[in-house]
Amino acid sequence: MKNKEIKQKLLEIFGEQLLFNKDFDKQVSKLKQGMIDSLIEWCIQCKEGKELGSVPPHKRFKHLYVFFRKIGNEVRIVLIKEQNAQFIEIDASDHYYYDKKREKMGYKKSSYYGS
Amino acid sequence: MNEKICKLIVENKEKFIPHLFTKKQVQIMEQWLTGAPLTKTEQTYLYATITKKVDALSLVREELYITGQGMIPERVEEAKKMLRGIGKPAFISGSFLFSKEYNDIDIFIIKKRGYSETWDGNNHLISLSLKKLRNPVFQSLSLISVSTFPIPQAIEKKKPTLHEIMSLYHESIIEIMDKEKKTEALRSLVFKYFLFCKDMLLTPIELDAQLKTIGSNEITSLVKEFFKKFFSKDYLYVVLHEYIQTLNDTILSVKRNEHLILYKNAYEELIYEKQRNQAEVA
Repeated sequence: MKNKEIKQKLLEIFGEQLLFNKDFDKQVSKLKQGMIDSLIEWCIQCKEGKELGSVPPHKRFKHLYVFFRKIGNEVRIVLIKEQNAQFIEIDASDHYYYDKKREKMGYKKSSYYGS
Repeated sequence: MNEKICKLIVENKEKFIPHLFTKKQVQIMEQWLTGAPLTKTEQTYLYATITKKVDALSLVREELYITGQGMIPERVEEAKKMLRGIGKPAFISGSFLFSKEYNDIDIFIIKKRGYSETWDGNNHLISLSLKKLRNPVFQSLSLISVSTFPIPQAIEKKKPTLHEIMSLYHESIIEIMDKEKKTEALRSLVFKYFLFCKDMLLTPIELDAQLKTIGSNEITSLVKEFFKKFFSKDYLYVVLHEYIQTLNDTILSVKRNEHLILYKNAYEELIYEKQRNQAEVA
């Protein structure tokens, strides 16, 4: 599936308000079809309330509900929803930007070795 | 070609010329080390002749440090072979050395500064400085390792913040409930618990053993102990009381909320139990 198609699919799932991070295309292009299918399935599960998310520890972001996903060794996903509202953002990034995003919201860096 | 051996030869050229290398061969090595351009003839000479001599010498000079117990002998031999080809201070650690099943091979390479992680097939290459090596995670890994250099046993502990432990706790519970194979948060939390609360630096094997038996109840108890030991009652009350209010709202708004209820109960027991006790005493 091409990047445009993946984004279109995600917009269909979450709505046109969904934002993608700058590196989304670059990271998603690393994924094999099976991983892409699994990512989309997971997104549907998140939309249907079947996945476990978390409230960021930092009080500035307490209005959010966040889902994390690890894909293979390199790609990390952050899916963000406003509580009692819509999904607003999906980020696909490498470890470095994933950790930066997490730190900003009050989470600990994720990589076992780098933290 | 082994860079370390090359440097050694160039720095001590009078000992190697003419017995093992010609003047021209050492000159080409010097050019290669400094990145100076080589002619086509010099390049051919380098790869056809000089590299073979240097590689042979690196076998003779091999010095490896094997630390820890419980490693699979065949894996140790494989690790030695891999390290020979690196030519820099490096070590191999992780489940590859001691577990029948493993995800990837963790190879740690020392560099002057910075930190990076890359993957090359099954190999997880972690480049780090000697300063970063003092991080407890790497000190723990060095306790079961095959290394080309004696790894300095010097640890630098940095107490985690309340938010860090909270986020590790939340994600550990999610990893347990989702039955995830790679439990990064859980691993990190248990490691930190033993390091800071029990003053014990677990080896990777000891950490694996702890993770086999730990469930959500045990993790919750462990986190409460952590909080009580390192954070004041007042600070805990201020942060957790506010977070509990947030959790109350979120619990009502999400379908799958069993994990949120667990956090809420844990935090309430921690701060309101204390408050109740103080009220009773008063």
